[in-house]
Amino acid sequence: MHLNITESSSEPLHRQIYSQIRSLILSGKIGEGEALQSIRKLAKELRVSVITVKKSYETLEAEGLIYARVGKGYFVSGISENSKESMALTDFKSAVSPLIDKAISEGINKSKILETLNKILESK
Amino acid sequence: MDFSFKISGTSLDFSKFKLGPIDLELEKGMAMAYLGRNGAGKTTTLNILAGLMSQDRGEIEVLGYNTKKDHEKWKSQIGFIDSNPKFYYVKPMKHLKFLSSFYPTWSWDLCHRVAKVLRLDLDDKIHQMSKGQKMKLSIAGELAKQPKLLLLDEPMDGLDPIVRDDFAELLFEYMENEEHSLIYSTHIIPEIERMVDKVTLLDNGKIVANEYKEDMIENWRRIDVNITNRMDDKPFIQKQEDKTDFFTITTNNFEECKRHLANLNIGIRDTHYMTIQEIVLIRLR
Repeated sequence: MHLNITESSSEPLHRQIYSQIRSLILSGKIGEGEALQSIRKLAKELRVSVITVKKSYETLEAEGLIYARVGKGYFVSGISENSKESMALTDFKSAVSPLIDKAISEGINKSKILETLNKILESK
Repeated sequence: MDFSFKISGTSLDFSKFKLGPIDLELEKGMAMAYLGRNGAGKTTTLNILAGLMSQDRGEIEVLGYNTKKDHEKWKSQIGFIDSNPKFYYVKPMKHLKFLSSFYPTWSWDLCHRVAKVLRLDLDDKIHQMSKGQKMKLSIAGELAKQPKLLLLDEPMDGLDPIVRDDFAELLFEYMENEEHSLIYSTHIIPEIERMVDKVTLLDNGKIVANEYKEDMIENWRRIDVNITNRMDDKPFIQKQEDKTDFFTITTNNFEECKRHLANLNIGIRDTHYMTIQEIVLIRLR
């Protein structure tokens, strides 16, 4: 599990860890039943406090992406492709929405935004 | 819940200064930042936990031992690194051997590894060592004890940036063991932001904040709001700054503040997370 966290992000560290693991799960890079690193081990590896990793794991658990087994640690849940897609879509919306707000506030109209999005999509 | 230490109703009177009464506890496996201005009482608290001073009033439990009843039993499980270490011999190895005889959990492997990581030469004479070298020797000795509770009082004093980073790495390693806890007092807050689980602020002998770090980070926020005049003061509004065409509000209760702004129909432009350093500065001012 390769995570890359930084203090120069506007997101706190526990959010960065959360969203990177979430993204690894949604993209299938870590699959159902796979064990996550223990909280203390990951904390040491990333040089963050135990509570930071714990908070990230608890948020992932509350969303049903991982589950805890007493004394064994955390494991990736079985998630249907449908719910993976809807979660990824939710992430996409919340990432894009402030960018659209910003563009509108800077005077770009909606059809121009749509046109730009289409151009980006065509290049993919 | 297993506690590393538990301080209840504890006070200590000096002629010019009184510590407490304070109540403070730390769960096993946790790291606490113990912050405050000069003379707030941080070192006094750590000295009491280390058994170097005794409180006038109150009970203290360290690693399950009552510090007044179970004389000395807890002391062999405590490490204490401060910026003014004391040594018993001229030669580092002699000092370390003497120290090791009091600590059943002493590890020579760890001692030599720490010395190697910190590039400490154990053949130098202690009185010829620089301040930084002496700090390294102290760190090697205290970590080799494999203490269950590590007390740190400005432990990075005199260390260069590389050694600071190596020492931080050793502390992260130390905390990988769930039986270990530490309390860390410093004025250099960024040095401990990533490491600690809890943040405790001491002001004029009294605890004024004691929170889990991630709760602190989630609760405090700077919010840019669309107003041009100051808002009425509220307990959850810590600071208001006039930015000409908007205001920046600093809150210690983001959810309540958001509700309040929604009730007043005040639009939010942007919200910003804050660092522990920024929060502590506002809290102690």
